[in-house]
Amino acid sequence: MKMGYRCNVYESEPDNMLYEWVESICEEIIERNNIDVTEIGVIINSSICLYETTAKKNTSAPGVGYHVQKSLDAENAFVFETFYTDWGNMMQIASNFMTKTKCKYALLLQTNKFSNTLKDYYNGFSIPDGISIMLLKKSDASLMLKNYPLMPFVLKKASFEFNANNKDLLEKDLLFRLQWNYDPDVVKEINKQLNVITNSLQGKEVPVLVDYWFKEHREDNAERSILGNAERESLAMHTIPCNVRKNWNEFKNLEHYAFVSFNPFSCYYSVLKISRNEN
Amino acid sequence: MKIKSAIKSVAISIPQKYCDNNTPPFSEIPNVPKNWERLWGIKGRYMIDAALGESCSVLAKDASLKAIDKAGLAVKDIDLIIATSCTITGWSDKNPERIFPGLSDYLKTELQCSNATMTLEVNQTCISFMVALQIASDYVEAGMYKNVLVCSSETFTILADFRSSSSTLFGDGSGAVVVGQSENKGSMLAAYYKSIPMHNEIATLQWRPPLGNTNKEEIRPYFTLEENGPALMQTFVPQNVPVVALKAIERANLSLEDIDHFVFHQPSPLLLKMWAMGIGIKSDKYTNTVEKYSCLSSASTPLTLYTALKNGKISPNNTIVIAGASIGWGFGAQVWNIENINF
Repeated sequence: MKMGYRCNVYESEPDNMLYEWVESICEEIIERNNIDVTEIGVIINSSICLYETTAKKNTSAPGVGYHVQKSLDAENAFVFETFYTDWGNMMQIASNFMTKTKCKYALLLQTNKFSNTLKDYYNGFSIPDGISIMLLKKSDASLMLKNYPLMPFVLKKASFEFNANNKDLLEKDLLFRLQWNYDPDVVKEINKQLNVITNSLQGKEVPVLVDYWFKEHREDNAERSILGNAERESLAMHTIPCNVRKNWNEFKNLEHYAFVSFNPFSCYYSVLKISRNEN
Repeated sequence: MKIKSAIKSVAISIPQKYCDNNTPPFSEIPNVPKNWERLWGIKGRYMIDAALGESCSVLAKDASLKAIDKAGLAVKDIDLIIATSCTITGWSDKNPERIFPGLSDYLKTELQCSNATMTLEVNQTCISFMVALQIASDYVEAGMYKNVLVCSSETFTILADFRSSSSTLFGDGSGAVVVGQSENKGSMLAAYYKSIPMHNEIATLQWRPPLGNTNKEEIRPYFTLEENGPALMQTFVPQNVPVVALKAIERANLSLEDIDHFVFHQPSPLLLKMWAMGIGIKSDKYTNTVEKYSCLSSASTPLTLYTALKNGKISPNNTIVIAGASIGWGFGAQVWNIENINF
C-alpha cells in the first residue's frame, strides 16, 4: 500500500490479471447470492483502466465483461461498456436495458488495475486498484436520475493518457498515466455543489450516499455512512458499493434514498433517487 | 402522455484521400492471401491525412455539426452527447495521447455546447452506435433529455498494423445522429440483444509492437485478428445477426414484410449476404457501404443509414431494422418507425 497525498492506494498483485480477478469476484457474488446465472440479462463494465481485459493480457478490447460472461456461463446476458461512468448513470442505463429482457438480474462492474499506469503521486490523485460489483435485481422500485455538470470554471478534469512519446516509460511497461491537477479552488467548488445537492435531498428527508474521491471531498460529512475513517480514505470511486454492502439491511427498508456520484473525468454529479413504493 | 424518441437527422464526415488495395500502404502489406480481397470483398477505404488536418476528432466534430444543423437545432440545444470510438488513443487533434475524457467531452468543448450538456462514452466496438442509440432513446423517453447527439467516429488506419493482412479491412470516417422527441409516429418499436463470449479473443485490440518487432518503445494499440479468426467467425457470426433481427421484429409484433429496409453494420459484403439470406431478404432490402468504404467499426452504421437515405432506400414513415455484430462478441437489432430523418 502506498500513501498518496490524500488517498491510500491499494495495489493488486501484478501476477493476478484483471480478467482473472474480476472473474473470481463475480463468481463469489453469484455464489453468495445463490442466483441462476441464466437470469443475468445485462453486464455493464465501467472501467478507467484498459488492460488485461482478456486472457491475451495486453488487450483493451473486447472489454472484461465478456470474460465475466464466459466464466459465469451467463448465456442470456448482453455485455457492453460505458467508460468512466458513475454509479448513478450505470444503474439507470442497466435498469433501462432490464426492461427489454425477461431476465431478473444485471451485473454492474467497476474494474480497475493500474499496474501499467504511472500514478500522480505529486498531486495525490489516485484511484486504488479495485473491483466493485453491484448485482441489481428487477423490482417495482422507481428510479429518477439527474445529472449536474459543474460550473464552467471548474475545468480541471481527471485524465487517463497513453505515454506514447515517453520511451523510458514504455520500456518499463508503464503505458498509461492517470492524473488530475485539482486544487483548493476546485475542491471548494466541487464541495459547494455537493452541499447544494445533499441539502436539497435531505430537506426532502431523502437519505443520501455520496461518492468519496479525496479527503476534502464531502467535507460536511453529509452522507449516511458508517464506514470507518480508514475505509473512507482508501475508497475513491468505490464508496457507494462499499456503503451499500455494509448498510444494505438499513437502506432496503427505506421508502426513498439517493446515490450521489461524482465523476472527475467529466466533472459532474449524478443523483439517482430510488423510491420503493412509487408505481 | 408517454414520450417517444425519434432519429431527427444523420450526417457523415469522410476523409479526402481514398486508398484502394493497390495504393500504399495497403499494396505493401506482406503475405496477403491471394483470395483475401475476394473473401472479404473490400475494394478500398478513405484514410485520414494528418497533413490535411484530419483526425478522428475533427471528423467527429464535422459530422456532429452537420447532424445538429440538419436537425434544425443549434449546439446549445444539445443536452446530452454520447460518443463511441474504438480509436482508443490518437483520436484527439488537441492531445494525441488522450484516452479519457473521451470524444463526448471533446465534442462538448469544441462544439461550444452549453455547460449543462451531459456526456457519456459507450463501447460495444462495432455495435457501439446501436448501444448509444438505445441509451439515447431511453433517456429521451424517460424525459431526462430532449436532444441527444450520438456520434461514432473511427480512424482505424491508426490502429492498423500494416504488417498484418487484417489492416485491409478497416477505414476511417465519422457519423452522427440527433435523437429527439417524436412528433408523429416515430419511435423505437423494439430491440433485441445478445452476447456470445465463447471466442472473445479471436479479434482484439492489443497494446504491442508491430508484428515482427519486439521493441517496447514501439508499443501502440493494434487491431489483431488471430489466424483462425475468420474461420471461427464463420461458425457463429453469420447466424446470429438474423437471430437478433428476427427476434426484434417479433417483439415489435411485425412481420418481415413490414420492414422497408435493413441497415446493417458493415464487416464484409459476404457477411451482409449471409445475414440477408438468414433473414430472408433480397439485396434491394439492405445497403452495402463496405465495398467502397471498408468497415468503419462503430461509424459504419450511421454511414449506412445516411447512404440508404441518400439513395432513396428509406423514406419518411418507413419501418427499418438496424442490426449488427461486434467483436467479443455482441449482436443487436432495433426496429424503428421513422418520421423524417434529415440528412
